[in-house]
Amino acid sequence: MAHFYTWLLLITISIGFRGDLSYVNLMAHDITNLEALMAAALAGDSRAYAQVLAAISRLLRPYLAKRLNQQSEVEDVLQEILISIHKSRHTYDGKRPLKPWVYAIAKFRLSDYLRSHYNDTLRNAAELDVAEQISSMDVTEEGFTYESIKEEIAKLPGKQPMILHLIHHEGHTAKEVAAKMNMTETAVKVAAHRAYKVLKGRLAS
Amino acid sequence: MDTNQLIDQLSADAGPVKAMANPWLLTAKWLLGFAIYMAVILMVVMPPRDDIFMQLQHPLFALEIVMLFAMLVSCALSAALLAFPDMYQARRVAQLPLICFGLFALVVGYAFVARGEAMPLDMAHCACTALITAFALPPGIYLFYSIRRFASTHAMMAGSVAVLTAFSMGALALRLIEKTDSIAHVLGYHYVPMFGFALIGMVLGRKLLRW
Repeated sequence: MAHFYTWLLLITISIGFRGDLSYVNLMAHDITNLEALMAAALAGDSRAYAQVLAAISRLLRPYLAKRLNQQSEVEDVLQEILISIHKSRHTYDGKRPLKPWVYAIAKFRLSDYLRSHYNDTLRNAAELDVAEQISSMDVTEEGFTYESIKEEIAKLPGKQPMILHLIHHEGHTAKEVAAKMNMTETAVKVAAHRAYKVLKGRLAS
Repeated sequence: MDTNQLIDQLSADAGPVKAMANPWLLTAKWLLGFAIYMAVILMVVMPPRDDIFMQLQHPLFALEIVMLFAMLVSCALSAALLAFPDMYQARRVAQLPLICFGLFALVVGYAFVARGEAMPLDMAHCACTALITAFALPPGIYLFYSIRRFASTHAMMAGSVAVLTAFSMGALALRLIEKTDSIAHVLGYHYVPMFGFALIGMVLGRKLLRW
């Protein structure tokens, strides 16, 4: 009788969990494949390595998409993670599951990216505040016109001379300049602010 | 660059790679190196205190030495695990120094309270801190060099634990050399600075172990 109940219990459990067990088997199969591929990759099989990296990309895209806003950011961070995996592949010996190793690197690079992203955002916000204060001031207050300091403006680095030319000579708004120069409005304002600071220093000396 | 192009480029660059030693083997190698280094210190640089065997019969002293040794081993193991991006999937083992630290603090704290000594405030005692630092410097530099060859995703923690490993070794060596029974001196000039340096190790880890 006891045997009967044991068998009954086992059959019930196996029927109840059949769906879940097939999922577990699928996962195990997937993991084993990835590990086998990685082992071949570490032995020097470049085709296996390409397959591993492609599989990791498929694995990480949804993970990153959940945590980042733009698709371009997802691809940027994904590429950084793939490079990090490439650089640290000597720390994987094939004796443990691959996925936790991959996710540890992914998490590390993602936090790095988010940290620098938010630092930049904060820095830009602070500079933007100052830039807005400066741009709201009267530009003729100190007796300077675009024409009178044209030579100094031409000496500025990168896109700064063109930005100042478009704003102060042609009279475009920051938004219009951004569209013309294929930049964001914030980047234009920040570049203009940096240019003002440099000019202020040069003209004061 | 497109991600697929990057994958093609990375796979074209990749040759055979030799995996690094596992953390257990790495810890064993480090500990063997430390044992040789400590033997050299005790045999060539400074001999152990002449009453060491007698002292080891005192339970508190013996327990203190055992706990210092446990700190050394657990920190070395933790540093080895932290050198791997995924802590070799043994996160709990990597946290062992916390338990050892708790037990160590209990032993030293109990000895301090039981003896009721006052903390000696004399710059001459700082020589001990300097000596521990000198003992800890070569293994500490080696540990940082060794961990840098891996890919730690917990750089600050790895730096801190590496410094603690080196200083545990230094403190253990000095405890076997210096003929002092003052637990207040040992606490104030051996152990408190040791954990202070562990904080500096965090900063060093952040600077030196990033990749």
